[in-house]
Amino acid sequence: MSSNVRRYRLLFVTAALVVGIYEIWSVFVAETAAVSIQGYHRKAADDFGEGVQISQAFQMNANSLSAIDVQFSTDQPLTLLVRYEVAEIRPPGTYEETRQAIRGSSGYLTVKQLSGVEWRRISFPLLEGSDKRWFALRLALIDAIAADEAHPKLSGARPDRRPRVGLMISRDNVFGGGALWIADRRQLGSMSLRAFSHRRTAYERFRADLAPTLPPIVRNAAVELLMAFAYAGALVIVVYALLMGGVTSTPTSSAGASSDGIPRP
Amino acid sequence: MPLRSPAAVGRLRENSSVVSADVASVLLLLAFLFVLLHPSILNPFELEPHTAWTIHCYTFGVPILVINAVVRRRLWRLTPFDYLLLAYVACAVATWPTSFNRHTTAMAIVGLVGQLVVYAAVRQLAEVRPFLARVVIAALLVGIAMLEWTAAGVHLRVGLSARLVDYPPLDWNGREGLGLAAAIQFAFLVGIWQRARSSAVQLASIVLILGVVVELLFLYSRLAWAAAAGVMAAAFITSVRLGGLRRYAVAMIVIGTLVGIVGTPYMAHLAKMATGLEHRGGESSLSFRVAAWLDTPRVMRGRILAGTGLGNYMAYRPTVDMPRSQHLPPGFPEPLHPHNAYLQQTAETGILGGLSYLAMWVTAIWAGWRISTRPGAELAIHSGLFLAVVAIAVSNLGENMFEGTERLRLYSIAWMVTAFVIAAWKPEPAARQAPVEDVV
Repeated sequence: MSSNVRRYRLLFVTAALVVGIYEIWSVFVAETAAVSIQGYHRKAADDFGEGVQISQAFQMNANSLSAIDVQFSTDQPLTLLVRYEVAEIRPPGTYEETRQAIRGSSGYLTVKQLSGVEWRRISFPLLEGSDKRWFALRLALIDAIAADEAHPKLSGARPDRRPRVGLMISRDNVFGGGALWIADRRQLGSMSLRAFSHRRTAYERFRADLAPTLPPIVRNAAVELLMAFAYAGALVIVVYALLMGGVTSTPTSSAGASSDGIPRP
Repeated sequence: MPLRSPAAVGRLRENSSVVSADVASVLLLLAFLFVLLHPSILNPFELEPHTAWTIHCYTFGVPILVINAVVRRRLWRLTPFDYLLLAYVACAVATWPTSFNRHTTAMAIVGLVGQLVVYAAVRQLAEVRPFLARVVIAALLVGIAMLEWTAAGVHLRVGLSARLVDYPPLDWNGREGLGLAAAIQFAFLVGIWQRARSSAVQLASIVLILGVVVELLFLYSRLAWAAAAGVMAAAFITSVRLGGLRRYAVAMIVIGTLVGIVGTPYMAHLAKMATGLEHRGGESSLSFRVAAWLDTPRVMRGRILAGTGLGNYMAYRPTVDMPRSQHLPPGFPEPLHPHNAYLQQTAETGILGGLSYLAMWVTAIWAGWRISTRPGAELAIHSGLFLAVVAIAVSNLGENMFEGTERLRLYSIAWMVTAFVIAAWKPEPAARQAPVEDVV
């Protein structure tokens, strides 16, 4: 075996291992949002900094909704006090309809040391049976103070010296992006939002929400893992053969054809 | 240090610039494969998606063409396919002055040229480095598999007994877009299964074939099913020609058994609707397609030679006064486009353009047949490429798979596959043993 082939083989094995470890990490270890809404073309909704309420309706894709991440934006380091409300609603129609909550949770969130554009988490008591249900998240800024706390409250500052505080929203409607309101006005686009269930990983949510819908034979975790690993292993073998020359056929002709498909020399 | 002659130094410099050109070309190819298989079209400049993808095509193709033209000072030998392609492009461009909407046609021509730049770049690379076909097929196999796994969550959530109706229009997980991507993956795998020598590779390819069959079935895209059926039919013919009927039969039995196990009554209903054996249901039946096909001659009336202008069929059709087709099922809206790429091209680019387009695809299939039945070490690769061309050509009989933003990237895949096929196609095959570097 030439040293070049050995080197390529080592490179391939390393790449396959890295990809494999990344996949295992992203499926079994990393926290994964059940719903992720983020448009391609984003901007900060500065109305939020003026105290205007911003609402986003979305359909949840997992049971036990427990936390929502939103993206705040500021032009200087700040600490924010935000009032939030998470409510289960009927599929959104008018703004008034989204106000008619079936159940929900509300409270205050202190967003500390916010600088630039950052994701921050709103955690609340579990909302069981949330899969495929519609929810509305409403956010309103109560106050903003400088992060170093050496400065007085900024809400009383002159308008030209007030910091800019915003919520990141998109200007485009994305698939599964729900509905966005600023005050009671329906808007194009969506709030940047990630909703989580209390099951952290993609695999845990798959087992809890999707595996029960599968045919009985593939509901077993061992069978599912076996299938996934068999598929991944087969992919590695075929790609290795393609890149390293394993997928080769000896010259064939119709005269040399064989019934088993293996070309005869 | 040994003294070198000026000629040797010149050769050395030339070689090093060839190596640099190759490295740059391969890096550009890998970058293009990444954006091609990314879940959604990358659009950092917030442009209209068609424009964004066209820019990707130019950004990939133009540097490769320039680099190779400078370093190698040649392009490629022309084949009958290239002449037909030139004729088609000439007809498409000629529609602009008389187009129903010149702006749309101009944008469509810019997009078409972008796709042709991809074809030209890949063709250039395939001529000088045929090995790259393996890299592209490997990337497509892995990339499409990852897209299928990503989409599997959505499919499971929708439910296994329902079609995926709503999906992100710019993403890869649309029913027909991902369906045809899966059919292309299926074609490559069947090619590898049929012609691979190693039993480990055979076993691995049949495992992957089973995976893609499950995905194809539950995407409920009848065009993808038709494309897969076309692949199996073409694979049968190559088996008759080259041998390997037993292996083909094994694949058919395994696939048939899997379909029998996981198949649902809804799948049978859809298949019957598609073949005209059943007419009741919310999905479009064969008669809807027939109505769409028969609309085309009426749309073309008065514009047989000039066409409506590239990219204008859907804008022009509502302006044509025509009675509701008797084939159209009750309650169905009138079809907006002919659901057939060849008919649509004929209507848009005129009869000559349409014939050139059709002849181009026939030539590509012929070239694919030739390379997939020719002795050589790359038989599995060529067989996969041929079957992929068949899959795309078949699906375009029932739908214009290149229409719409979701399918822009399918168009690029089609051009890439065709470029490898045409580059490997030699009218007079050289009867030689494969050299070692072809095998490794």
